[in-house]
Amino acid sequence: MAQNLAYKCPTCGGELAWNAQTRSFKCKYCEDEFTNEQLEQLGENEINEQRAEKHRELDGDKKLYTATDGTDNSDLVVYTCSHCGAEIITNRTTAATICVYCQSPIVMSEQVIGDFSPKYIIPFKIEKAKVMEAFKSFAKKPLTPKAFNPDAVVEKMQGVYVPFWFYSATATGSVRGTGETAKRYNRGASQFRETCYYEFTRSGSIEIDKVPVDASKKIENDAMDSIEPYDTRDLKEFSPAYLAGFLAERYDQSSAECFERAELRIKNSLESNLKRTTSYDNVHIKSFDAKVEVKSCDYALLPTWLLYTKYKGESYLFAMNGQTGKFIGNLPIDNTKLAIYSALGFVAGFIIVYLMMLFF
Amino acid sequence: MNFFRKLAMQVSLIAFSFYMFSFSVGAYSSSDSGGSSSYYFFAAVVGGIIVALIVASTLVSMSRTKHKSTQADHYISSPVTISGKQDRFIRRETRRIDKR
Repeated sequence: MAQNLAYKCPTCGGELAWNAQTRSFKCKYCEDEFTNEQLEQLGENEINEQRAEKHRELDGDKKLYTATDGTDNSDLVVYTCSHCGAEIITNRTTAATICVYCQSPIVMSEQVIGDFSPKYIIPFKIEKAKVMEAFKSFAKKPLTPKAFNPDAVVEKMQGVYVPFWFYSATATGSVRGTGETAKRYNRGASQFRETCYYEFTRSGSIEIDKVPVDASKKIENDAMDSIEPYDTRDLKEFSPAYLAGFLAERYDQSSAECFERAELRIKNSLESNLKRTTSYDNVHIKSFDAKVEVKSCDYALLPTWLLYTKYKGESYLFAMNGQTGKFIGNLPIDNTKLAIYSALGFVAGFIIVYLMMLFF
Repeated sequence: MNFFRKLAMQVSLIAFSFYMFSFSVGAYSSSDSGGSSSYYFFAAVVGGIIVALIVASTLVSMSRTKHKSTQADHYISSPVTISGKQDRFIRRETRRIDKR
């Protein structure tokens, strides 16, 4: 029978899920803990490609369906829960989810094999309780509307393994520009400023190791860029067991499609590094040429905590790096509060400047 | 939608600044108490607007924390290797900046 991956506790047969706090696989029922190596020895980690369940297309009008796991509704397909047999309606790119009926973690085998098999993964290090705490303190901003309730919103926070491409490359280039050095000196009773102008060129190269670029169309690039950096020292060889208990996406943008973003960042780094090798006080770049030679490109899944919410028709995304805890997001703004604070600022500025003008 | 909201905010801000400017100029022209106090008033209005803008932008930036990465510095595995370097002196300018 075709099936998805579900991880059973070797002790009691209950569901196993990755525990970010203990960094091990923990049984929901008997609370026994296992390492990835132990699961591998027990043969729990193997994917039988022949038996991997293929998704089924939805019958009829797809617009009438909604995802059972809260994923994006734009392109839905059906899988079967390996535990309770219920239908899981989810996005076509979902690689792991949680069954809404029996709460069991499910890994879609077909999404992590063949071309979609990741090389690396960074397991979650930040647990949900910490994320919820961080979000609540993040939401306490002066302009946050009173009606925006962080306690209610935070329940929707989901741990998601986001697909990334890691580019390792050598960037070679040259920069040409002008530089200035300035000094002041006194001669007699006068002070002088002497400025020297130079033309310079610098050629050189840098080695880049695993610059990450997210490979999912559904997730905002800016948000993923903002929660960087990821520490690649925590990279592990991919094992589908790490996905248990979280959502996971597979890539829907190829490495070629994402390369432009990596290339731009690498070139910018080369330019600024070459610029820093000059010793001028001011530097003006006139031209910059660079070539990026990719040495390797690897597919990896990286941990993020994501929360999509709506307030007064506007969508807001909050994201946290599941490894380092770096948190970003845009909060709704109460325009009345903004007007009040601005008016107070105006009055304070008016009084201060008026008094300064009067007394100084 | 976001674009139109931002545009509306910018237009409101410009309208507010223009109103304050007109108000202060009006006060200046109708002033009976001499040029200097009207000048103080005008400067205070400008100062108030500047402080209001600083307060508003600071508070808004506290609620907006997304920053697009433009560099890959964190992932540089070895320092920059320089293969070519040239510096050419062009000219020197000297200016007297302070007479004691």
